[in-house]
Amino acid sequence: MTDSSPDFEALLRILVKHHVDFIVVGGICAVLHGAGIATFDLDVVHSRTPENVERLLVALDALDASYRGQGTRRIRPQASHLSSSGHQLLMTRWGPLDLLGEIGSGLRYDDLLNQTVEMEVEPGVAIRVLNLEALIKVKEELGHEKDKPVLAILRRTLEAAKG
Amino acid sequence: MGILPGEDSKRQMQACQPLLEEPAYSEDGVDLTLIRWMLSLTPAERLRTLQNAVRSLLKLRGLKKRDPRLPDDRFES
Repeated sequence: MTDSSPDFEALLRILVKHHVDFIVVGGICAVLHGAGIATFDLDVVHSRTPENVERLLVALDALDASYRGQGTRRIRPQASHLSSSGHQLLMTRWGPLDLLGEIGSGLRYDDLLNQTVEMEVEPGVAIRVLNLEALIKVKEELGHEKDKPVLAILRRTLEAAKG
Repeated sequence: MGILPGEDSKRQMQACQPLLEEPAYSEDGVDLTLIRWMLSLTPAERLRTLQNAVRSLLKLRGLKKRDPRLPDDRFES
């Protein structure tokens, strides 16, 4: 496993460079909307079309991605993994990357697309980010104990953003 | 994470109120000043801020690992 500090900009840059269709969700999504929280991984929901999975595999190769928690074994994700609804928890040369086939109550890339906004995180690097309302809804539906403090921050961020 | 722990938090929150035109904390203890600051940044600046924060946290964690005599409360979020 690569033991490197996360570099979210580099991860996003590589995904965009390889024309991967994805939506940023989770902690990075929250921060991009203005929530003051810390996170150590990048969570994305990816399109599971065969063409996108192919592009994603090339990007993952560039990122030197393998599954986390496998000790000294380096298991690389395969197309069949990326085509599933499951969560692929990977370590890359630029830190942890979680590829989510679906989130919440079975929401896939196509289901979420109309609840996203585009943001430019670097010149020429534009990404799709789940909107704050949808992120709050997903976390509320999941009802995880760990999300409760974050939900309070997300709700206040949404209120403040709306003015 | 912007939420004050403990029973004293409300008193602490009220203590800083008179100095500010807008409330510093929400009813549920969220630091609104942090949110206002983050909202004043562009998405790219927010991402860079997080990136720098993560690097700092990992650096502090590395220091703690190298010198376990350092007090724990310096390294808790």
